[in-house]
Amino acid sequence: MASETASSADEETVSLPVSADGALGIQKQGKHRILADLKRLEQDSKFLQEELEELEKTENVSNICMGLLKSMETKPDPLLPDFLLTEYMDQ
Amino acid sequence: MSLSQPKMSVAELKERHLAATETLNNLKQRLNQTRRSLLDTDIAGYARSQGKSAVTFGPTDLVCCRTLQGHTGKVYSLDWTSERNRIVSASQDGRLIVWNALTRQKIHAIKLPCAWVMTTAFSPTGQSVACGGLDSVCSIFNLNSTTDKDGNLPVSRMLSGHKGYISSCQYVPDEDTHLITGSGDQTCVLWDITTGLKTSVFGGEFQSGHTADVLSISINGSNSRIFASGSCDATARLWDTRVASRAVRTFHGHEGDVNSVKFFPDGNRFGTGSDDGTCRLFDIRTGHQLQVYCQKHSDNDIPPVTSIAFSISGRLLFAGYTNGDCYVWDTLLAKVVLNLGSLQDSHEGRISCLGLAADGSALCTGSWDTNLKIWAFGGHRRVV
Repeated sequence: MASETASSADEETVSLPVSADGALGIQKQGKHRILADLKRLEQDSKFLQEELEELEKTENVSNICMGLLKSMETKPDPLLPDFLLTEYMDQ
Repeated sequence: MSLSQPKMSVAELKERHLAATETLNNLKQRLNQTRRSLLDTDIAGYARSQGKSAVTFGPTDLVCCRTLQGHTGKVYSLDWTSERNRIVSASQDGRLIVWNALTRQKIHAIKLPCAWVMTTAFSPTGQSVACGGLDSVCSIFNLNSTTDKDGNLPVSRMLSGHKGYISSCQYVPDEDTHLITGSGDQTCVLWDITTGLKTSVFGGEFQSGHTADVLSISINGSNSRIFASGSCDATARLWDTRVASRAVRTFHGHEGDVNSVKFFPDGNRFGTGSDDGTCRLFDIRTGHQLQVYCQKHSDNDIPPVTSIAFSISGRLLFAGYTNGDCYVWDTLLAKVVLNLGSLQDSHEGRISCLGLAADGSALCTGSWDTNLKIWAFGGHRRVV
């Protein structure tokens, strides 16, 4: 985004042998780019603000770990050394 | 003040742009700080506090039980069927091979219209395979169709529309009719294979998404509307196929390209592997980074991770690296418990792809040494 802004600035200051209409066209193009960038920045800020509000109500990692541990221990895994053959045959 | 005010000068707009950038950066900082305050532990710390100990493997517990030889170029991608123990592999030799993993037999050898293939996938029914690469097209082959006069399987559908290479593809589970691709054009696409048209585009020029090439995608096995993507922009993103306009969440942490993403078996987290040499586990509901898996290798180097896979319970995380190592991580204790790269009959080159069999009984690895290998438990079992 910064580079796009910089390229828009370059369009403003470059001296080219163009007609008055041509120069106006280049200026409008630069303006449109900045507007599009601005819109995206404001949209991204809105998304981050929503994420921040959600995060302030979110549980911490230690609470999640309990669920993860349970998930790993309930599923029989044929690649683990302690896997019981009868569990596999029952599936 | 509305952005559409026509009389606003360029200078005023630039000032607004500067202010908006500062607001965004402040929000990012606050987000990072809040998130760090919630990271009171990681999985390994929690597991140790519960008295858990690491998985231990005997010297002959995990062994290479099959080597699939036949490709004449680097293997880039592989995928298992959801039943019947078949594997499809894609290679720089310009071919897909469909293998019987038990007998090592080659069932199909498909010559591709474009040799520069990067990814392949089996359809849920096993009747079709998909592949894509530098041609920017995802090609579908029906394995039951008649071969042409040269003995080649014809392309049954071409999914065109990406503006960059196809790095990854996966069929939507339980449907042979839809698949998702990840691309160098920074987007992911959900395709309707029946019509050959895009159903949805995730990211890209007009929507919020990845800001660099997408390298990997993984669909949630528990909820097929949710998928994750990994990118050269060092982030992973979570998507809901019903909402293409923006990612559900963006996951920061990696310091290099995210080469591989894979959903955890319970569908509530996913793992990533990166050029920064680490694997990470993220929680999709909260966005938390639960664990970092990082260890120096024998030459004191930290080589990039090329691909990852979880065992069926999630207790093991398999990670392939560019130096030929294939670490088996204890996901819970964040310890390397085995290196398949140091075992007998290991690969002689980079591990480029990994995949677990549907029943969890075997792991397949693909390598730049042109071979695929099947790894399974070869030790003694208790029988009750």
